[in-house]
Amino acid sequence: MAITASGMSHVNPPLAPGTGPRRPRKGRVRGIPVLLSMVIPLIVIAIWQYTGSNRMIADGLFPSFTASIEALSDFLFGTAEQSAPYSGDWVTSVLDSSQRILSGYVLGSVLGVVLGLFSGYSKSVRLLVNPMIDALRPISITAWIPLALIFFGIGNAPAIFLTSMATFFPVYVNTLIGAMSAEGRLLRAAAMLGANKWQMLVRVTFPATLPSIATGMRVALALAWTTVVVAEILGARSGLGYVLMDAYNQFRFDYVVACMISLGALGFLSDRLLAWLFKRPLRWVESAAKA
Amino acid sequence: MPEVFFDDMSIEFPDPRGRNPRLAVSHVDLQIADQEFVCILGPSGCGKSTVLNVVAGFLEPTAGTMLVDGQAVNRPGPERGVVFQDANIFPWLTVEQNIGFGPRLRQGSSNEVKERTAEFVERVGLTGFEQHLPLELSGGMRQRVGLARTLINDPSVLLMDEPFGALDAQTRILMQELLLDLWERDRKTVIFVTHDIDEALLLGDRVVVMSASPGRVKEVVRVDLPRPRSFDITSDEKFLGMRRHLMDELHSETERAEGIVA
Repeated sequence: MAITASGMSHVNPPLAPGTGPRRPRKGRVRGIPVLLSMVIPLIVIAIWQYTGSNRMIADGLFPSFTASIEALSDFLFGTAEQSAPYSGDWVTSVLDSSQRILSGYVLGSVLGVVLGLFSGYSKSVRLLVNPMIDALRPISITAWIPLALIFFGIGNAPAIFLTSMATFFPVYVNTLIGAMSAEGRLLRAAAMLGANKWQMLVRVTFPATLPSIATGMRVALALAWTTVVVAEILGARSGLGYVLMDAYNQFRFDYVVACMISLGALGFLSDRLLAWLFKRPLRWVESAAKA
Repeated sequence: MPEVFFDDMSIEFPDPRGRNPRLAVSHVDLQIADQEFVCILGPSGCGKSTVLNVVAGFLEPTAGTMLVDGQAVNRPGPERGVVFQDANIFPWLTVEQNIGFGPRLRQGSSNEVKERTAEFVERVGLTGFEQHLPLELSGGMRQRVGLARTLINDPSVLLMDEPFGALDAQTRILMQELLLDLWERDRKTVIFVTHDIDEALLLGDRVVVMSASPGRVKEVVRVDLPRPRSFDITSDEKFLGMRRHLMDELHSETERAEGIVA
């Protein structure tokens, strides 16, 4: 984490003797955290490069670090000299995957929040919907793939369906727990101020549940990425998951790794974006339980 | 007709284990007039908050009657405003949004509501803090928000449940004086629960002393001190005499509540 080091890199001016209490001298080790956090990545990259360029792993199929970066660069900008299968296809692939993940994620989140809120707030709704959801929840999302394919065929629909399923369950469960534990004393205060049942749900239970919703949505985002890749591997003709699998079929492992790097970066960025979106609505939360 | 009327009211709580319910409040007879400021004084656990919760509509009496404006109460509502012990304001709303919560439920965010909110922000001395969140406020400020959001609904009865109990001594005095000032404006009917004798005598027209387990009305003391009052009155001789008397009353009750045999 090089980010953490930037704030530490300056060195304190030495204290004049006899002014104030002496603090332990940490100045000398200020630059070390940056180096320390880079040790393992550098070792991994070195081994990766060495084993890859010497064709030491998997009968020489495992690509070197530099070959993977070159593939990524070609995937992004079409820089390869001879024609490569996915030259410059990065943007369209990412857009296709993003479109699926966004549709599925938004759909699953909205459903999860709405159903979770209602069944957390009202016992009759909970009795109505919870048993069905609890029964479906333990089924691994990947196990739904065959049904998703016969329901929706090949293309966007099965990926969106599976991603929304993957999103729905963690969002629903977290929202339900949050809504059920919404503090009774705040609900009593709202009733005393004249709120009806609906106003209590919208103006008290919902904001009180927002920290749990944020937690559920962050867990769900990681699951949604996993799911969209699996769905594209098995049931799509475009997107990062499709390119990844197609590159595998063509023995282009440099492109496989380029896809993996892209997925890691997108997963990281989308998580940061989500945390940023929740930052202002959750600024009232005192603890570190913020998203 | 009295504003608040208790007739032989008892409240039992179900015992989670056995069949014998616990009697929390026993046979309370009390009439509170319109515009009267009544303090309920008693040791902790004597059921004084329970009495308040019945008036608020959070609880129903097990036996007997409790009427507000001649009507039985079966749910909480803005005409019976409650100021809670721990402010209990909404942590995600700003000072302004907390104070305007009630009017906004009924009228949306009209200009009228905005003006009224600004007026009550000013009345409790929070001008300049409109956009602050509760976690940025001191305990006294939070309690002023709790008071203002209740007063803005123009309740016919104001119910205060040890509202200043968690504050430090200096802040508590400031809050008591603020409350007296606000009360002098429109003299609402107030029921104020406290275990602090000075507070009860400083604020109340009458002090209802409650005994512990089960809670009963032990004595009602009329506080014959001139209004408007301020903290200076606490060194008045009459005040000190009543204080002495209430100390003795409360002391024996506390001993009983704590299981100490005199």
